[in-house]
Amino acid sequence: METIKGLQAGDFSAEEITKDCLSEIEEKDAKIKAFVTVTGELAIAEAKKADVLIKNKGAKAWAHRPLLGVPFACKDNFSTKDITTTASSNVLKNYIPPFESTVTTRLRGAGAILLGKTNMDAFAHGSSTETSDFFNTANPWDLKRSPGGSSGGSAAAVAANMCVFAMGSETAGSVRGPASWCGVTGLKPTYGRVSRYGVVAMASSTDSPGPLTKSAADAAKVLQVIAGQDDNDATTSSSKVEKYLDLLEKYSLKGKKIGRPKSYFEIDLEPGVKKLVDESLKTLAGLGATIVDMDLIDPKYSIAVYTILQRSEVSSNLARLDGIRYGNPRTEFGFEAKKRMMLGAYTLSSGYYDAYYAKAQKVRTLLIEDLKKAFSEVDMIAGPTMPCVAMKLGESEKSPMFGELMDVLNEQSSIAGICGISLPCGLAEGLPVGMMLMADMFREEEILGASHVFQKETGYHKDIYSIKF
Amino acid sequence: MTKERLSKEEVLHIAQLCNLTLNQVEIDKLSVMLAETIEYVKVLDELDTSHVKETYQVTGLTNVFQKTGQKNTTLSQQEALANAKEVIKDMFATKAVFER
Repeated sequence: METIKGLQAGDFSAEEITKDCLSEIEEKDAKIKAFVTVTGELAIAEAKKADVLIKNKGAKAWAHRPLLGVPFACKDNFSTKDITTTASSNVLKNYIPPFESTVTTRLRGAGAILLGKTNMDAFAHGSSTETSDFFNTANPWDLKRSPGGSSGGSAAAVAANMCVFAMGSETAGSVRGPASWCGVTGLKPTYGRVSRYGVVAMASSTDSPGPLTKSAADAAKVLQVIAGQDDNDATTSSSKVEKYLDLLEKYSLKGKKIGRPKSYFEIDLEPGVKKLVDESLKTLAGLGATIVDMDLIDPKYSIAVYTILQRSEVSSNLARLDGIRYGNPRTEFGFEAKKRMMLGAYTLSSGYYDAYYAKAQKVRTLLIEDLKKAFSEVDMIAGPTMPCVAMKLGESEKSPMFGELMDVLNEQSSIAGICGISLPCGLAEGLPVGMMLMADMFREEEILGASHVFQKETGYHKDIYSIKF
Repeated sequence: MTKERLSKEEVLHIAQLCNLTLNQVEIDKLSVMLAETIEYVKVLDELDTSHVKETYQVTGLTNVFQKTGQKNTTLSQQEALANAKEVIKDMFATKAVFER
């Protein structure tokens, strides 16, 4: 992470870099609107404390605080104690959590400095950030376009250089999608790798917090801090947390097999997207990997499974918002949340349960088996992250299943709980395209390593510095 | 059988199950949108799942219990009440079942 090198070399102080980020926000966010809340005073106070530690301990200050002095933005569905946490919804508009999420506890404990909370699709229901009950976020590459979603504010904040990294969360595509459309790196860890404690629940069986960063190496650095078992989330895994950053430096693509699923390239892809992803596969081959043609189950089934499971879990999770213990009354729910809860209530209701919910859980088993078989033959699977480049704001309203159709290439991996990453692979008509790499459960080091090798070779992850404001 | 829209009664019934109120515009939109989505997900019927078990938990964890001696992170009564709409005698005030 360049920021840490700069802090260690004394090129700038934590206070200076934090103030730099805050003035970037001040300057750019009137147009981009990535932030729902900016915690400027708190950030400066924390930065000053970081500077005292750095002054007293020198380089040793980072031994137990690996992100000391690094300013970050956080999606507004992570509970932050005494800081408004809205999930970009009118229901939680005034909610001030009395507790802190595990992810933000770990990040802030590691010395990272919270700059503010970012805009998202309300309750993470969407893939464009347009279902936010507050306002739209613009894509820094073209202000008339969507940044993707649901972690759109986080992706836009990273792309526009308003923070060093940002936290997002993904249920199916909500980190990788906006990363792709904004030209940043987005990691969706394996389900259970990162704690969901304190994250406003969307679909509990797939929700995975993940970082949006400027490089795969930065993603590894953040994952190292946030990964691991958590007593407050019984679904976190006890499987070993690897030394992601060390493994990434040693990684080689020689001898690695990467699968290219035919069905992922046969859907309605924009020609520019297809061309850049195929070129990137050639680059990976040039770096030593073997690209093999393979097939996965038709993505149309993943869309249907995801739609049923996500709506069902949403209807159950949002039932707790009663307007009595916290939050505003249920009359404040936006249309998208109502639509999703109602479909979920329908698929879970007596008489329809077996036909929809149970059926979807059975097909989920088939989707998992399909991937298991694939990973017995290949180390990774590659494809486009999104079928197209960032769409114009307003386009998403035209389809009741817009999100599912946009996230078509992310859904099988999310339903199965495996890890995936989206990394920039060039520009099509001036807009960024993302390539996705997926690996089996708890093999984050594989996709991070491959991404790092790719980024060192191509430098596409640095395209964000060419954005004109 | 393909249904192009749900009836107003069906939509209102589901809304009631969800404890939601809808206006006329929302009822009209939802009767079409919900039917469209329900129709779409029927694509799953193309797959034979007669010998397939459901997967509810993808990493295979079962029976995860709190560890002995684990520190309990719980809220104080004041913290728990901090966001309540109405508090009576240090408790959440809910709609009355009987007269208060």
